[in-house]
Amino acid sequence: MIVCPNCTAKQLDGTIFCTECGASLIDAGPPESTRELDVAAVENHQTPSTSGLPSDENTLSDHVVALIVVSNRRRIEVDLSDEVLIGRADPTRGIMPDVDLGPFGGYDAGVSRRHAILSYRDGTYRVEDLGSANGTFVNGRQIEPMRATPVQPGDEIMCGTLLLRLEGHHRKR
Amino acid sequence: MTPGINLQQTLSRTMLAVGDEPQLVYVLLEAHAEGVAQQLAKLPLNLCLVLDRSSSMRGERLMQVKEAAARIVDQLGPDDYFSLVVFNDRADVVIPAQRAIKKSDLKAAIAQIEAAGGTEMAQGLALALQEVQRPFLTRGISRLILLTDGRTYGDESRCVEIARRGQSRGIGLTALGIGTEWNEDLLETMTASENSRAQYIATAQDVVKVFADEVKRLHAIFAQQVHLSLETRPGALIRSLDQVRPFIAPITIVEEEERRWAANLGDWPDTGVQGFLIEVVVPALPVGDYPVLKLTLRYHLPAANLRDQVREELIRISMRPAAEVTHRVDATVKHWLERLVAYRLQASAWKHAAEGRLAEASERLHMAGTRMLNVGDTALAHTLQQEATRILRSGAASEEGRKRIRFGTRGLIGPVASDERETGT
Repeated sequence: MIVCPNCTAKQLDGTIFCTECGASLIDAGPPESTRELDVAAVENHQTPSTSGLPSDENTLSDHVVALIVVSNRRRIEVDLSDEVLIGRADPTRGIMPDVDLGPFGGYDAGVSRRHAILSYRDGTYRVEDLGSANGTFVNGRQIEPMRATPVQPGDEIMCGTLLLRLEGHHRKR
Repeated sequence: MTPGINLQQTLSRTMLAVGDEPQLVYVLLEAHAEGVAQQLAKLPLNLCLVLDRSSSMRGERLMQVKEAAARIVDQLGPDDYFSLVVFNDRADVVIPAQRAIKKSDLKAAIAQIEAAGGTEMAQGLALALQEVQRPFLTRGISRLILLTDGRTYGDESRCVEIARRGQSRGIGLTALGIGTEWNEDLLETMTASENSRAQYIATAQDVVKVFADEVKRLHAIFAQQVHLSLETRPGALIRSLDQVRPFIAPITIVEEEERRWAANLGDWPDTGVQGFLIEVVVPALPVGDYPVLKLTLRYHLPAANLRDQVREELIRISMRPAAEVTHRVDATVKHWLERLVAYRLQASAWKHAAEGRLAEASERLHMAGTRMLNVGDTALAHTLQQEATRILRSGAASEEGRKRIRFGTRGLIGPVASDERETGT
């Protein structure tokens, strides 16, 4: 049995697309799977190497925000006392982003393994696209890669075609 | 080479990991003619055009349709039969069924068609069915080609009934909708049978090509009453059977007896490939090699006076320890499955929308867009995303978007890029 990462429907082993929601299940194979299939299309323009994220020790007090996955209204709590990497986990390549969009249909939406960095410094939230294959958009406008772009709570951040909304911690929905 | 049908199978995976749960395997079955073109004569065609001449057809549309009808007359040979029925509030036979010999007379009659009045389709269909049954053909292909741009009111069930009556007598229906006003539910229902299909003609300029392509396709028919039977090993199940090439169409499968299913696949042209996707549930089995499915294709080759030709294909899988099995799936199978999934997602979106579940409908359309993007149809993916947003905001999709999606996901927006459509287009 496979459980669809997008809608949690139970599917037979060997199912390629979820019969309920249509999400691709190939990336959600058993953990021992090689996960080598079909990544080329999405990952062609993978940034060669962005390993060793620069970490900033001097941070302000805890800054917890939330990223809301707009399509299914799921909430991902994010602690921005350090920069966080948004992407898609790939254990075989040792890529474990802080915010893993894999379970939210990230593969289908064209989220790169290392897609973007979200940070908070000097009172400003920033998002920086890491040269992802399908780009990062803030409120519908594509941002320039490798350049930290200010964002505010309430802004929509789209990775590939996966739409997220940034929410400040004090706001509740 | 003896003429016939060649079958080719591709599985999503041929090697499965041993386990204690059933697993799903997708089988792509592709068929094409072999040794036919040189050896077989064309089958005579018996064609009846059923044309909507309601007032909304006035202008460009009618002009193009008349042009298209005249071109069809040019395409027909001396053994082919032709008839033409028009309808608005009433139905008239413009050209009674006859051999396509006096072509200038036929074209003169076509030129005199004028547009006026409303749309009452059932009368036109009834008259057309009568006309197409006049010629006595010992062998050949009888078809109705319907073209409409509007909604018929009150006689929908009669339209379906007449279409079914024809189909039960081997008379297929090609239903073409032009513009955005026609009732796609009705046309799809009427054509939900073998030898029949509905197609969306987005602009009047495409009419001539769509008509010409259809006649070309009908002229290329070489195999008739193609019938598929599927026999599974104990414990295995057929979950679905769909046509994926040259266009997507769900196929009715009937369980004839335990572990034996059957489906009618209609008449086939000798151009291009007929592709089918079968979802097979394989039971848990110990390590070893197993036949899981036996496919038997039966068909007639009327031009060669050959009846009940048979091709068999055995589908085998290997069960292996999990450590030896990769999760790689065949890319071609995945490609056609992905298109099929997009078609299914949009179908379920309209169902959700009709029940007022707009968020679900929007999610389905959105995902269908992702699927179409992956198979390389960015234009349709864009339409899907647009309508996904629209349905959330305004509660309904646009008429045009809905038609583009319903027919586009099937590969039935005219002119269709012919039967030779290749993977990845």
